[in-house]
Amino acid sequence: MVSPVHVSRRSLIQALALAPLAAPAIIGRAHAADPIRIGISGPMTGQFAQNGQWMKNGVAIAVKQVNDKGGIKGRMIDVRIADDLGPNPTAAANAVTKLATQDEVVALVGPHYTPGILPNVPLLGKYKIPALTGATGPVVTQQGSPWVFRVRLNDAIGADLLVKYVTEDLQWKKIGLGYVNTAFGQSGIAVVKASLAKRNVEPVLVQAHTDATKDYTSQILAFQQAGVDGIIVWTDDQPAGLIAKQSKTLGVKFGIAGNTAFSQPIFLGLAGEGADGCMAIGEFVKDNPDQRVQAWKKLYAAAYPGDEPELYATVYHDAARLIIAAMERADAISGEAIQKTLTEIRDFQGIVTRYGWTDNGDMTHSGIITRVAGGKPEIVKVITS
Amino acid sequence: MSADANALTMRALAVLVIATAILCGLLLPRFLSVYYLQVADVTLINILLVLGLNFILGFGGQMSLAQCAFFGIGAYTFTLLQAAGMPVPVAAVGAIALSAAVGMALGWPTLRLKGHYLALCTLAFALIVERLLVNWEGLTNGANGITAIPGIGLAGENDKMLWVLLAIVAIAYLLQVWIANGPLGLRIRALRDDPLAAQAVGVDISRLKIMLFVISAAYGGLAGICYVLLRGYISPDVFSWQSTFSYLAMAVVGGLGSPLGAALGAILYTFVPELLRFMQEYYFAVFGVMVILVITFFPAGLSGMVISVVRSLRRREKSFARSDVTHHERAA
Amino acid sequence: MLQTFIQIVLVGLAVGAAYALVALGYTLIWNAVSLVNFAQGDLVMLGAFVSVGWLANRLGMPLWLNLVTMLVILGIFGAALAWGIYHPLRNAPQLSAIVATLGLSMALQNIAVIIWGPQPLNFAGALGTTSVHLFGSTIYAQYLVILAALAAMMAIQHVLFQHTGLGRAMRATAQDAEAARLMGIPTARIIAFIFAYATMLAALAGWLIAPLSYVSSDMGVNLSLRAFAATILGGFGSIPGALVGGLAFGVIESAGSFYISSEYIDVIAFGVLIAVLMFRPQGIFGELELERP
Repeated sequence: MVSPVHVSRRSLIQALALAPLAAPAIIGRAHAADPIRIGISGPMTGQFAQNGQWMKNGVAIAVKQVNDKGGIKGRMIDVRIADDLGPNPTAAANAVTKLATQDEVVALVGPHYTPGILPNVPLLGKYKIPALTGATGPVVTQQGSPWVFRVRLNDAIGADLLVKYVTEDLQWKKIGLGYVNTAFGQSGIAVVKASLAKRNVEPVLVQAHTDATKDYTSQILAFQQAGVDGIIVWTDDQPAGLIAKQSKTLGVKFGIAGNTAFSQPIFLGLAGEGADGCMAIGEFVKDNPDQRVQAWKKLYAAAYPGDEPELYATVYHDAARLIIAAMERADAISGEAIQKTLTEIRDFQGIVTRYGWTDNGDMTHSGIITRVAGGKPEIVKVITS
Repeated sequence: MSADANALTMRALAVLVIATAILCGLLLPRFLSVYYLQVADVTLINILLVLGLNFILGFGGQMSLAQCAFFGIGAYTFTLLQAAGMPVPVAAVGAIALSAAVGMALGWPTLRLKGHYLALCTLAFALIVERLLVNWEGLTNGANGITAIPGIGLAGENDKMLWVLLAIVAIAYLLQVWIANGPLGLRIRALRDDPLAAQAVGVDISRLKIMLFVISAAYGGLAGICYVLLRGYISPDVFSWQSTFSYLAMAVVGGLGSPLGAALGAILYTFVPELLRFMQEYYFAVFGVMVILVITFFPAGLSGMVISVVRSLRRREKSFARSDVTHHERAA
Repeated sequence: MLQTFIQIVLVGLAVGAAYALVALGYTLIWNAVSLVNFAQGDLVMLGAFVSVGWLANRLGMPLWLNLVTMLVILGIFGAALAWGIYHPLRNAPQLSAIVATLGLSMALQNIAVIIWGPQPLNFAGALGTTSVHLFGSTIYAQYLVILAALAAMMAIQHVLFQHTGLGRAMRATAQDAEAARLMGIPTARIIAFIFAYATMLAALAGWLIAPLSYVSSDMGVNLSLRAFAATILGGFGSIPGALVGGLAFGVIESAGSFYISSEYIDVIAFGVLIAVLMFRPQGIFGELELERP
């Protein structure tokens, strides 16, 4: 039970009828109690709930670890969760405001989506709470807020690395572009375009889709007709899987490269054999032989039997560990102190990468390029910018 | 009902509404936390949207699903005009005017459409507007939306925005009652209850329907401006076509054609999910079931229930003159 | 060029067939009880989840038993909807009932996530990713199955409605429930049957399209919208209209995306829809006096 309102005991109808009248019961502000509260703002219901589930899992492991060791300066950590419905500015602003003012959290993990973090940028400054987000759009850190920390690879860097790889190492000449028509896909493909322009390459064809697109036949045929050597796609896991699967069915010859979706489990499951040969720029694959990743896999499987960690659980686990590390070093447990300490972090060894703060709030600076072979993404290149 | 009686009710109602608004303005910040104040602000914006929808859906009996589009057009126009250097009042008037003009442009060609055909046409329009907001990156900045909109400098100031929104909603509420009680209201009721008979006695139905569309759209545009003032950030996600169904549900759950219903429906639909957050991932499932239950128990909407309670209380004292504005058993 | 054109049209027809199946459900319920069931798409999702999440993944049922069991479960669920949603609201204003189906839609989508989890489920179906070559173009065999299923359902429906006592009772109930009741037709049971049948149609659509992509809680949302568009395009209440509207909408989307713009495909498809309604306000097969109070 997270809310201070105890509606649960009343019947639904009563709760409903009394809801507006119950307002005075809402007043109660949380007492400055013993545990330290940190918040998660993520999609917990609806179509994006999977990401929220992963956020929760990753954070929970980090918090349990520190609580088992006796907490921070004797204080336990308590995680408060608020549903922000993903890319929903109104719900995200409500979720963050609730966490900040009602639950009085000292730091935030999330919101995960660009339209979720953007409306909250001014609010984070107002409530003086740092937020560690995995939203990759360049626009997120361009806001110049000292309260926003990005724990994933900025698309502006990632896209450039990928374009460099396909044009120089793979020698693609005619390139098609595909993207999901959301904040994520639009800003991702914009940096791909800019990066291509830098190398004097003009994409021969650009195609857009939505998360609801289930048949890519017409798009794939259009790429084929344009005679592309390969396509660069910036999209979510599900469309990535369908594009790869349907390209395989249609027997196309061009190569497929894209954002980290093209190495993630949902993609692999949907694409099946079609996944083979697909390339991605990302930060994390669970089959990385690196011993930190392997240890993390064991830890995760112990906490969630039968499950394996993927990118988001891992990134937000690192985010929670960053917050914990900042709290351990800070002279006080407050949003301001944690924010200040986070900016002093230069070389923090996480599972995904080594984190280090730079002026604009980006904390991750290296990426890996993977290529799927036999249904498993293999690392072809590790790049540090 | 004589004009005198109407004027009297109107004056009494005005006092009541303004008093309620002032009371809310004074009391809510004392009793509500910052977070619930923000929810209250969002609720007020939703009330505005549903009041607008009331004109075309409740009064006109026309099933329009385009309210989210006018919401978006108002918000984006206001933002872009302000970015072009126009002062806030000018940008606001421009935004409302454009929303109204688009309302007319939608209302006129769809005059021949009835029932579900109109519903789909307006829904298709809403979807097209949303796609344009996403795709027309040069103008709207695409799906990333527009950040740090100055507005009147009150973005995120939930307590101060409460006063602004209360004032706007009170005026919009009274305007709706005033229109419904005035000479236009008579024609509106004639249109809703029996379009053929209304036409026979000389009501220009086409003009009336378009007028309702225009007022409806203007309210939607005004709500868009309010959203910009409150949030300082807009993106196409705020105005998604799916959200239009929430406004429809608010209008119906509250009670169609009733300003009080608009307020009650918006309060229910905005506040209750926030109150149910403690149920974690179950809360929207529970809320969905709740909507079904409310509709089942109060098919005429919450306002119908409130009015019948009030009426049964008053009937004990004296016979009560029925108010047409806030009382409709039958929907569109 | 011609080969590509054939491919585009075939895919459009196949995608449109799924719209048509859902649209048929809308039409049936509308004809029977004058209710637009906005949760129709979510019944597609529910059918797919029951089939994949429970019967296939948990119980490992063989495919045909899976289909039959799923249809029985969803049929019972549909009859329960008639009893739980329609009956309490049968005398309420039409819009109230519509909003109740919106509430149902919200509840179903969220309950699906609670039961089956938020991760999309994969389903190979009978054919997996088998593809066939037709007129020189490549197409999933599953698409042909969907088209065949649509044709079969149309035939079954025709026989059921025109040549059986049950069908006559259904039509009588649809035309005038009160009169039908006075004639001794058990209208409550007939309406429950219509709901069950419409739900099974939606569920069948879910079972058929699941192997083509994946099963997720939101899969009904866009299907709902497009099936509703198909219903309107064809003419509300018309069974051939639902069929033609569904297929036409699928082809418009597929061809529009290839020949004009994938970015603006929704604008194109729904723009065409608005344009058609401007010239034919009752849809292709609709009758002008269709609207009921």
